[in-house]
Amino acid sequence: MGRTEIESPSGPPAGLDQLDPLLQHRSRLGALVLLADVDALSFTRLRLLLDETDGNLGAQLRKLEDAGYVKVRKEFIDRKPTTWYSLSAHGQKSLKAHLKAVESLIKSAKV
Amino acid sequence: MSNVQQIGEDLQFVRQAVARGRHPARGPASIYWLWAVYVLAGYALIDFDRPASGWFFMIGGILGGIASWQLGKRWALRTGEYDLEMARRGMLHWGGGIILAVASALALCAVNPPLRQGAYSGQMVVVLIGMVYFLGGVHFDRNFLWLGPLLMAGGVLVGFVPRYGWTALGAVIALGLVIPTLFPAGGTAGTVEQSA
Repeated sequence: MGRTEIESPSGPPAGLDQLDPLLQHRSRLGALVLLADVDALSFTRLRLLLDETDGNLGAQLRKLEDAGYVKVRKEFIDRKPTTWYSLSAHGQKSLKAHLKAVESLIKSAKV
Repeated sequence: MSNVQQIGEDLQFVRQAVARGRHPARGPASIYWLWAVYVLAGYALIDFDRPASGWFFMIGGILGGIASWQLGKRWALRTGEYDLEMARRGMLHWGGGIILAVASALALCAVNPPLRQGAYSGQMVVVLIGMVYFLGGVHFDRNFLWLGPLLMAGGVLVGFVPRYGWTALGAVIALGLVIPTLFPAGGTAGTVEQSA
């Protein structure tokens, strides 16, 4: 499949250097976008919405947790262990900056 | 170098995930059944024991609000989606809206004594609560878009029914509350509840 490379004769396009490397993975980006809209989502709910496998989603969420983008809370509901994820202030700020950079990038690609 | 197509595909993936999570702003069916029983019993009491109906609506309304909060919380835990802001908005709309409707009707009766006669005050409360229902349809569950005007019309027409008009109105509203819960309006909430 052919891809449209962003080319600019006068250096890198606007926004490219501001993209957050951690959020250039679609599952991590998707998780943060979903968490931005609510107080918390369970692992099961995130897995269903992102249509990911347990292993892959767990690994991606661990990266977000290690970077301080998400907060994790574990509790038992009906005797079953449930892991809850919520967006941290740092994660919210990073998501906003990343989306702004994506917007700039798309605008510059359209020119 | 990154590329536009990759970013486009990622954004499409995120858009699909967000769409999967978008379910109608309808809480658990148990809340609708709870309020259907409350409406049916309360409106029947107006016909059979009018003085008791006032106490029933007041105490039952408070207890129903607390029970709804608990049922909503339990549902959120089971579906895996905790949205306190949405819960607060719901409580503010239903709790605050109905308190304001009742207070407005009482204030109108206070300044216009003839309105206190007969069932006028009750009819006024119901018409104003019908407005709260309608706005609930605008903000939360589309089902209330028709249930609100139905309640308002019922609140007016019940004055022309000599016997058991309130009981009939209560039965219609109760059915209007529970019937939609038997037909899921789409979304993934139910699916998640089963898998969580």
